[in-house]
Amino acid sequence: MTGTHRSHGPPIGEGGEVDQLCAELLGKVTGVNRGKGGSMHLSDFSVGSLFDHQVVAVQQVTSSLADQVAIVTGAGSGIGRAVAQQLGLAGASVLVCDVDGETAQETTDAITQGGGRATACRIDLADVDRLPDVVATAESAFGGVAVWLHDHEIAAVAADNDAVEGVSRVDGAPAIPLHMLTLRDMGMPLGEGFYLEELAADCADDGVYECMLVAPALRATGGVGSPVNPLAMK
Amino acid sequence: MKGPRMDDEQRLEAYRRMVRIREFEGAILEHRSEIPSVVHLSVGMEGSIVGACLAVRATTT
Repeated sequence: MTGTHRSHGPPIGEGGEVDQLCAELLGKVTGVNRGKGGSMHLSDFSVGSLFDHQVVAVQQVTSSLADQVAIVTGAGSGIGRAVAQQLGLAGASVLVCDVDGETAQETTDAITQGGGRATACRIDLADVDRLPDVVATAESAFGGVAVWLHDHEIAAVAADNDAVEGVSRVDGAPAIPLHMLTLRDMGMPLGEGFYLEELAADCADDGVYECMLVAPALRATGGVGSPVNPLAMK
Repeated sequence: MKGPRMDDEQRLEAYRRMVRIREFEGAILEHRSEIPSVVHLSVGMEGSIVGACLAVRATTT
């Protein structure tokens, strides 16, 4: 059973307990998803209630990115680091952003040791006031931000976290600028809560990072908001 | 109407769950300022939610 971002009802309808749902909404570790799911992404597996996904497709960046600049957030570890390194290998100048300055520097070192161009940038993305600083840093370090998603025919962006970007607050209201840019302004789907561990491990194993990824929604009217079934083919 | 019918106990349980959802969402609305994330309520969807939940097996995911 899945909700459509209105995720509180189904677990209660399934007969689940409400205490852990309350804790989840309040962002507490005692919540059904340890406070990481929140209102729109809560799942209560004890009663078979899953959160929803949106439709996603991903196109790997394959062309040469020489003389281009890329900003990669969360690049100190995991998927973000892998993306930064791939962009570096493809010839882009990479601004390696992470809330942890040390890990950002480690990624930067790995890229430069491989012959690439990179600069580390410590930033907490929850602090939206600092976002212009990131762009300014990239511009001063590399002379301009040129790698924009639509310029490179990126079909969609998917991540293994709950909202792709950190949700911050401006004047008390939640601010999700990437959602606005991609979903509203560009019509580009965002994929949330993807389980990428197996794919990442497989790519690391054989060194092949290109694949075809499909993530079809239910073939029904209104199915666009249904859970997708991502499948990577290599 | 053909097909399986709900007995009184099932109807009561369905109503109980619908009321629980409505009460839960009402409480969330009341404490909206304490909740850090974006909140979407399912007020008005109680019947469809509970009807769907009761129609699937406990092992359906």
